[in-house]
Amino acid sequence: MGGSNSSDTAAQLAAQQNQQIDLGMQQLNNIFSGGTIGTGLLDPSAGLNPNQTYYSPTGAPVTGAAAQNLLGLGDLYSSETTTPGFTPAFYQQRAQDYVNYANPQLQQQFGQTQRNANYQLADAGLQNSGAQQSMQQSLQQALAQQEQGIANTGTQQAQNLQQSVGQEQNALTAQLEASANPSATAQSALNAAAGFSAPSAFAPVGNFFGNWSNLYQAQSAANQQANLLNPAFLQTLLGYRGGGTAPVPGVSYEP
Amino acid sequence: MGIEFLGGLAAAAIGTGLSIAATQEDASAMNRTAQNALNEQAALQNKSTRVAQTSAQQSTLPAAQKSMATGQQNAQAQYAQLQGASPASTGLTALDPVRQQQTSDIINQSNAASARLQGYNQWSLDQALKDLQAKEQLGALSQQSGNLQAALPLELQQASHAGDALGLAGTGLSTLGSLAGLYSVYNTGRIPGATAATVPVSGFNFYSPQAQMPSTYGDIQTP
Repeated sequence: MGGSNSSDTAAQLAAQQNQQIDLGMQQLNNIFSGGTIGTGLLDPSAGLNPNQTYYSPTGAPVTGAAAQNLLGLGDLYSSETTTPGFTPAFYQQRAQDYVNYANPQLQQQFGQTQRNANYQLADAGLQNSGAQQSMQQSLQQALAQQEQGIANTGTQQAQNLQQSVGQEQNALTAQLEASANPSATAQSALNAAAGFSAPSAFAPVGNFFGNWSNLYQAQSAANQQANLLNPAFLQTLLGYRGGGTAPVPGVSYEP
Repeated sequence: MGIEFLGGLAAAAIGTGLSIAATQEDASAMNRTAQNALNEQAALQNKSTRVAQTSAQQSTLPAAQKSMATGQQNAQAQYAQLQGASPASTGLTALDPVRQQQTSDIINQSNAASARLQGYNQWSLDQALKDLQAKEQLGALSQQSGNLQAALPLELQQASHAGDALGLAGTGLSTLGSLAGLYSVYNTGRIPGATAATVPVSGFNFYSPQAQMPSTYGDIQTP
């Protein structure tokens, strides 16, 4: 008979802990998936104003006896807040934010690269030539590839964020299980959610067309070298029609 | 035999009966407690099974194909949005139709391949998030199960005392019966005219406490 009180207490405590875990899970879901939760936890020793509306842990308005009951359990809040949650639209916007950040720089670099290439072609007298068409074709492909890369990076960043949010929710759930303290966990979750929602600085994008320029320059140089060794090109360039050796040092010409 | 003896016997019998009933009550209460605990654990087990099944259903091939298709479509839409609205591309020198077609084909092929890879990424992410969610729910259920399990020994201890009141009454009645029996024996010795209970053993007489003892040595008879 001596064990009655202690076992009653233990059973009640276990049931209460389990209720708190359920409650905390609901709060975490509301914070991370969007919903309402109570904020401003009231001290159980505080008096209640019968004319005031209070809130349950999940943000439901409560008054009177229900409020008094929740106050006794330490689950009564003075206000409520609605969180938008980490919805697909949130992550899509995150990806779009990166696109909006990186794409103007890509377009600016593209314009510069295109102008430089055009100047080089103009210097070589190759405007409106097949070489310019080839350059434009190559540059257009490079642009499309870089645009693809920006879209992929934006998506990757959004997916990384989604994974971080999931891991944070998981860690908070573990904290809830260990503590059976939904209000403390909910507060941590709100802080974490605010941190994830805040805009973050993006890394500098670098030079989008560096590789393309290097390859194009190398290819142009190789083409020029090859042209210098091409008898037909030399013949055209120098207007040379006769036989013998071409008047270019080191270059032999066989008609 | 006096009324006290019969009363004592009856009380002892009732007391023993109550004690047996108390033991049965203890056993019954412990059984009920254990059964309740099993029911609670079974309910949690059912919830866990549903969580695991839901998670497993999201790991099937059709679910994977759906995830990959979603990721692929999203990526294609993003490529189309970016490449279609590219301000720089509008400033490009027009390519001849053959080159333009070649370029479009190459870009489309590249987009399709890249989008397919993005689809795999989407599937991987969906699986990771799904697993995390299942882990959270199973962890919470496991914790709840542990909480109930921790309380069970104390609940069983309480149940083992469920028949204490009956047991106490039984013990009381048994004691009362014993006392009444003793009183009956004692009282029997006091009844006038009653003969002393003697048991001859090896030439000696043993006297009951109530029997009249020899007053002097002279009363002792030698064999």
